[in-house]
Amino acid sequence: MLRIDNISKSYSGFSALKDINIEIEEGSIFGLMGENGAGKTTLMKITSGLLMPDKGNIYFYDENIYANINSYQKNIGYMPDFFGVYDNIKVIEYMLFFAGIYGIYDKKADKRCIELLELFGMKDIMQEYVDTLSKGMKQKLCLLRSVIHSPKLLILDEPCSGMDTSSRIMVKQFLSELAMDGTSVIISSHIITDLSDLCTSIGVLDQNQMVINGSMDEIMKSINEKDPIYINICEEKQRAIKILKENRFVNSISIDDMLLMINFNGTKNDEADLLTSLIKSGVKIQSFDRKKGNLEKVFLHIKDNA
Amino acid sequence: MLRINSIFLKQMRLRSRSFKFVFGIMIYNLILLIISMFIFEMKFNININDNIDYAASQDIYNIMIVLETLMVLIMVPFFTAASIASEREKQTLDLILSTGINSYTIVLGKLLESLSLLILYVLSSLPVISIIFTIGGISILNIIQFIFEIIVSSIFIGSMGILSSCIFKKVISATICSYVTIVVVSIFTVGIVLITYMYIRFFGLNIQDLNLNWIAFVIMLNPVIDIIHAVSGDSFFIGSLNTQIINMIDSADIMKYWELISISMRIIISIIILCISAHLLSPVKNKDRLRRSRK
Repeated sequence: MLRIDNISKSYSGFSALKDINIEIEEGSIFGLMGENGAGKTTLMKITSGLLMPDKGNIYFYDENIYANINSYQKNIGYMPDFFGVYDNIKVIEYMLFFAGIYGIYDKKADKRCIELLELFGMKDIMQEYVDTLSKGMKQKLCLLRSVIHSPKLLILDEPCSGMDTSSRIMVKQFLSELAMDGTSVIISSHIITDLSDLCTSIGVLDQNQMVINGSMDEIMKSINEKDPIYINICEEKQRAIKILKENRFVNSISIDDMLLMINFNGTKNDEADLLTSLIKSGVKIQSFDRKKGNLEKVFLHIKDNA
Repeated sequence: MLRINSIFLKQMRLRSRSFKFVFGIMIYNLILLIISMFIFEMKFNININDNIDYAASQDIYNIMIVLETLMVLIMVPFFTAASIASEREKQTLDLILSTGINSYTIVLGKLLESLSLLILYVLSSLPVISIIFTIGGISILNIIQFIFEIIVSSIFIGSMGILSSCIFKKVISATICSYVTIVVVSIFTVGIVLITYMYIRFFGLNIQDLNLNWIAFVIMLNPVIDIIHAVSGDSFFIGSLNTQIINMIDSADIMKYWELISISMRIIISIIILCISAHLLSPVKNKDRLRRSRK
């Protein structure tokens, strides 16, 4: 659906992005991670057509977006990491203003705006002035504004910052439903748990380069496979150590009393074989566990490698 | 179906709610009323006699035109220079630009808003201007001509303000640039005429032998002189400038079609300036589109 092809951008000699390649499928949620200044917002702005890259192209359904940028932008929704507020505008007027820009008018616009506001429980405050809302409310309003025209691609820069837990859950659910309906989402966030619960694929930007990019399952698998396996045994510790040493997938063994920690680079099946051989040789095992990886680990892993 | 420009509609809604707007109209009309009553008193009531001096009503009308012209020169740059720069300051410009809306629509919406405000100011001042009708000497046609002239001039000056607003990120810088541009255009055009006049006198050239159409074009760009000339005619115009200079300008062939040429020229220049503004506003320029779409 969206293909970001070899994008580079620099600001007066400082490279903000270098050779970025991303592919986003229809109905997928792509999480963009990276520290401050890694280039997330620049990438978001380029993807939303607000910034011109120095090099590279973006293809939307195999069409170069720069051939007709306005038409591309009508198919996307963009929510920046800030909330621009107009003085003296009411919530419903704010929504109707953007509905008008997208060519939705009259009763159709009223219906769509109220329908969206109801989703986030904001119908009751639609006659309130936007500048009197809390930060979380403004964020939700901004999100609703960006989907008013039912875009095919949603670009969200830090959408959950400033939201309380219940709002965050509400937003995640909303985005999951959008993805299920076929809308693709690009989301950047500092809150890694937000991304891990939501994303189908992730990309990690580090020092203006994409250091990890792929499906969530693949990345998790690669990280998990590097995680140690913890074996808590009750009896026959020496026999267990001997079996582990003989196994070709075990790289190293650390021993802490009855807890054995091994670095294992085999597959799930190899893991199962190891467990079977330990049990068959009479080793009593209390637990055999490879700690599940998470996005935080991915992030830390990248930082360690850097 | 014809739709009202969303940007224009939103701006008008926001503007009409602000206290500054209502207060501005009130103060403006109050000043206009005080000055016109003062002139009225000076012209008619101090040396009261049996005769009605219709020329005096023309003078009052002329003074009011000057006041309204000053208003255009002061208020239009103020409104237009803030229009886009303030969206940038409030960080709302990116929201609008990301919607795929044509940058020409944004520029047009902003200009329309400023013009609407100005028209509202002018219309609100009609009761004050109508004081002239109590004496006679000024027709409704004069008033319509004046409103038309002021709209054309507002588009011309407003386009300069919009351009400043697109160039500068801060409202204050855009506003200063906008005023400076108008002052420079006003002084520069008069300056060229004066230099030409001095040149002709210094070398003892005969005005009749020279083709001075270009000097007429230059003076038509001057927003102050243009409104005053178009509306109040030569009597006031000549009174405000050196007669010989006026003769020099009037000797140009195109002066016969002053109104037509002046209006066309200002509208064409405004369109060019607005196109440049829209180009500057667009985050992805046409040349980039072409270059990249070929790849």
